[in-house]
Amino acid sequence: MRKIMFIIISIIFSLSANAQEENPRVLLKFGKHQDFYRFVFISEEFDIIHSSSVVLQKDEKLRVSFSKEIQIEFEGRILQTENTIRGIKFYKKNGSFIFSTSDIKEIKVFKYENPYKIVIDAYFNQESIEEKPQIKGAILIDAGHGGKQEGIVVNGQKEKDISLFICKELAAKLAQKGINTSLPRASDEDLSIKKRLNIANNLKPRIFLSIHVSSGDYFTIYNSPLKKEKTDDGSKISFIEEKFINNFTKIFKLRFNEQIYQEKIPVTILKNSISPALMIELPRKVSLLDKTYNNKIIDALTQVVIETLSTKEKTKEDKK
Amino acid sequence: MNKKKIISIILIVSVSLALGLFYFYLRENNVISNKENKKEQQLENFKIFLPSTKELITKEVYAKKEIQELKKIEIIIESFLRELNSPFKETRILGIYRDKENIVYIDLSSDFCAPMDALQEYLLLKAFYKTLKNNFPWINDIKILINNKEIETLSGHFLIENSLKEYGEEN
Repeated sequence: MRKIMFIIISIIFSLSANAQEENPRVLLKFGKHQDFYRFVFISEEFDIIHSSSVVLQKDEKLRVSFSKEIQIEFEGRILQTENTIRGIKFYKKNGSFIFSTSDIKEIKVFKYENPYKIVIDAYFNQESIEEKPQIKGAILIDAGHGGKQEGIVVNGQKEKDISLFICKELAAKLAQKGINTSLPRASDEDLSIKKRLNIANNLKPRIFLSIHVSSGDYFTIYNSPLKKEKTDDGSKISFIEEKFINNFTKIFKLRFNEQIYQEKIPVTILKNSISPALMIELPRKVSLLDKTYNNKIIDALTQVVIETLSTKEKTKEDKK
Repeated sequence: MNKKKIISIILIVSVSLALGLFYFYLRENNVISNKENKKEQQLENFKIFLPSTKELITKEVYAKKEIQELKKIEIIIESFLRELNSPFKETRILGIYRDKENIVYIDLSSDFCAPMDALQEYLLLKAFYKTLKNNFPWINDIKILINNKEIETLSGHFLIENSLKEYGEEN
């Protein structure tokens, strides 16, 4: 009796396994060309290809649907619910397959016979692809002055050298915390205001921070009263700038005895930046030789950046 | 009798002297007031804006009346510069030009582009613009040249290649 039960259960399992395997396979081929991705779905069944639909969604993601449950085979393996195909996220949702590239502008769909196949050419925005490697810089840290533009002199040291030192140390500290950083100026070089601005506006960092030294014994944090280029996310930019200023004031008040001032003036790089942009002037006490004070500043700035970025993430999630 | 004559003569002489002194006193006063009137007529009143710690302050200055506008501008800028701290007060005016669009070019010595904080630089530019614009409303814009050359910035925070208007008229 037990043997019979075992055989029946085995038969049921094998049948269900066979049923799963019975889902027809569709072979996926994928290639990236100069300005488009090519997706090719090949099947032995005419119906699968003939009744398939391809939609470019509003969020610029590609949705491919088939009339029945299928399995997609790519490079010898069956794709699971979520996969990444050569950098493109792929997931299954409500029976459809979504290719999450978020940069597709136009699609062209062709259906062929012998073998039955559907060819999708998804044209992407060339600029957005080219910009992608640059976007990795989450925080752009600009060391004020440089080259012939030496800035003020404090304790016998030039502002351009102090700001560069602080920026490099801050970038290293943020990198340790997993935050991508970029420096427009990494050595003592002439870098015009226009060039700094170009770098910032091409990079579109999450925060553009410019570090300077004050001639007084106080910290000053600046942002621009208004932006020259009115962007769609103007309120978001103001929100991040205000968050940064609040965090800066809160953290620096706790850790430093120096006064903290906030000024809204149209400093060129702040006014013309399309990203949240702030400028900080450190007290003239700051010196290349005073490691303790420098580290204190760098630690505090790191905390301000982290808290501001985490606030931003929370806001995004809240909106969702 | 002789006594009477002597007293009369003394009285006549005294009265004559008093009248003479009174005449000269009146004449002298008249001359001075005329001189003062003339002096007042030769002076003109200007309002200059000056950078202070966190804002602009204003000051009234009197300068010799001039017919030529560019000469007037020179006098105002000299007054403005005199009120600044070193090294800005040592700045020399190398030239003042005006184009057909009423843009005024002020050529200054390099003392004017000394290193300073962002706020100091902003207030300096704003004060400079407002001083000229307030006294010469016909000016459309102002451009600063240093040693006869266009420069990108005075101290590394504000672009001044194109115009000062955006800083002067910013609220």
